[in-house]
Amino acid sequence: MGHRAAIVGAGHTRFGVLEAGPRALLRDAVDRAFASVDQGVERGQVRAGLLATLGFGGWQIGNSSTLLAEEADIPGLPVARVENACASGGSALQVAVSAVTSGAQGLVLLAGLEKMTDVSNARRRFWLGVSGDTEWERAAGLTFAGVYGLIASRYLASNRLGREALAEVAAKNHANGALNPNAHFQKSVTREQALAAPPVADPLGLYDCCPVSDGAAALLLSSAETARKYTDTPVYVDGVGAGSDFLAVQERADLTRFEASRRAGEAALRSAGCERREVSFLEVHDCFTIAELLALEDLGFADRGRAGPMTLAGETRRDGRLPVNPDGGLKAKGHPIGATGISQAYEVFLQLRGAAGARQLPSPQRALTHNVGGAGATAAVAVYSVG
Amino acid sequence: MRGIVRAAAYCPGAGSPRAGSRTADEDRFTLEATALERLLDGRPDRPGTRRIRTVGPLPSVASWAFPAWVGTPSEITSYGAGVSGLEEAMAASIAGGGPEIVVASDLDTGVDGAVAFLVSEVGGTDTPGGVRPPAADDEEAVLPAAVARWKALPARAREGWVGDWAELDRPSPTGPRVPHPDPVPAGVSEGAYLPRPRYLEGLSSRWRLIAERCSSCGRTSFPVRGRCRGCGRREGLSEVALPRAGGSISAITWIGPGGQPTEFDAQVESSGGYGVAIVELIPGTLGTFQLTDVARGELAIGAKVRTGLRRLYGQEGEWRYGRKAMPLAPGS
Repeated sequence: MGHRAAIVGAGHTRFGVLEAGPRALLRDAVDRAFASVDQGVERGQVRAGLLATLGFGGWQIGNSSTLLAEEADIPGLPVARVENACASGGSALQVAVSAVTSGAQGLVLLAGLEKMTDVSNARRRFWLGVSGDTEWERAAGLTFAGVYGLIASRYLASNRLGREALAEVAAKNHANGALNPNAHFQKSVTREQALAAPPVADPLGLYDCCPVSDGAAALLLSSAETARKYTDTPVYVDGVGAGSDFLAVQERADLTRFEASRRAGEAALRSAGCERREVSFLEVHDCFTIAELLALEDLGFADRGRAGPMTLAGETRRDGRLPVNPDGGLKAKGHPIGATGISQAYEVFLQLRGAAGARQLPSPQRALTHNVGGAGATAAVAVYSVG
Repeated sequence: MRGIVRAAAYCPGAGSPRAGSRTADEDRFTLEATALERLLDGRPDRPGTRRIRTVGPLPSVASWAFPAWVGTPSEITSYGAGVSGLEEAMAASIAGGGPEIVVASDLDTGVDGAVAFLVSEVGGTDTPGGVRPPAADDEEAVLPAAVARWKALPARAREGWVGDWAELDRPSPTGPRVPHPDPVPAGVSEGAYLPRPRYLEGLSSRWRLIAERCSSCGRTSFPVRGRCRGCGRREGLSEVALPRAGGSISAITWIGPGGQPTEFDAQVESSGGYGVAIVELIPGTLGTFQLTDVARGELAIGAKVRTGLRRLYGQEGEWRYGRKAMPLAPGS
């Protein structure tokens, strides 16, 4: 096995309802990524750029990747956009890993971006429904939240659970977000508040849903062999895996599991030569609280039906046996769609190098990120270790 | 000699606590389309139907939708509203050749529903077994007699007629009937855009629950996409109509304000929200449907439902229609 690629620099903007426009967000994240490279790097050394973004709001749908070249001040940089809805970041990371591993590119700049609050509430709801099955799920009156509501109804019924486990996910992630200066929400939320929140797509209420956020994050990725030119503590990407499933939930074999996540997780761990017990913490895709429970089971860190009790017992808290989403997750940190997958890798970069400040976990060795597109249509998982 | 060989009726909310009150997603088109669906259930003479006579104004969708429903090229002729229009349509049917359908709604008889008649030769091979046609010796009066019976509903005997006339045996609604304007939004939808050709492409599945059965692995896939969702084969697939009642709820959610795509904004504004369910139509084959004719909490996972044609949303000057799920009628 061995390392496949290395993250040698990473940057992240604040996530939230921000004044800054998409270009400014991109510039900010990229500048911070370059500034974080321990031994420094010339911008001209970057061979290619990838932009992960949905293009929410439709402000720039075609050729948006060129904005990365412009805002990074690297004229002429070969660039492309990678899009898999909310898994755009994780998918872009895998494309970048392939590029540096094959030797095709020496150093790749990878950025995730979404500016979601420029448009009216009505247009936001339009765009929140574009990543599900348009022809059938949409026509039945479902956006993203509605599809997860259906999944949650089935999961809770099958496992004879109430909403408490969902509320615990919200409370835990908000507690973590309170320690993250970049998080959209930095106030804690109690289980009771989560349970009492107004319904959005029953059984999911307002506090079961991630917010609409602006933000950007960026990484500099090199091959494993050249990483030490840039830093003595690269964070290696040891393995990646991806998967997909039918776009419409009704066509899948099981309404309470994301087969795409299971495949991606299996492949990533296998290609990294990593056992689950070696993983110190997880960054999973909690777009809705139910999604964190599904993730634990899909990735094999909880047996079927056990993610709820595991969460209620505190095992996934920062001080628990297997911390999940120490940065607040999508729930509290925010979910600028294209940026999220990159943001997860950024947290891994900080935690494995001991630079996560107030939310630092005790000596984490290996980590796993899990990024899902829409309601489980696509998934991208990566496994990391520190040099 | 021609006569009515079959009739079917449909009343909004029939058999439910809301019997007699048309819900917001029903209009003349959905009432008549549902009556037509009941009329054509399993009929072998469907392929031969040449003419469809509609009584009362219908949205323009009927001009192509009803022939598509019948499944054969058919000409549509329209008549004025009310019982006089029905009499005219029936009289014209006497002279017509080949099987014909007459469909009418809002007949001002105190019955808020739609009725569809299949007019054909009587006493011939297309008379369904067990159905007694109108008095065979009363040649010229055959159709007017049928109309007279219809006008006298619900009091007169209806033996021999096919169709659920029992739906009409209930008190006439009191008070003025709610007028039913059909304003169609002219603008482009703010919602995820289902282009018209894609909408039309899926009509057999959307309206008639047509699915495809794979001769190789036996899986039934819905909607029709020309590909088996079990084994991936693209040949050896045959069309099958899934049952319109008896499916069970696999998952259910209730959409509150803010959870809806923008096409449904007006609906949420007036009703506060709606339910959506994944329904197992037959074992192993699922569909996703909005719920109607039901209050929050009335349905749960495992409940049996039926589906009916309802109005979905308006886009670019046209109403879009599809099936929604609702509780089974009591006694079914």
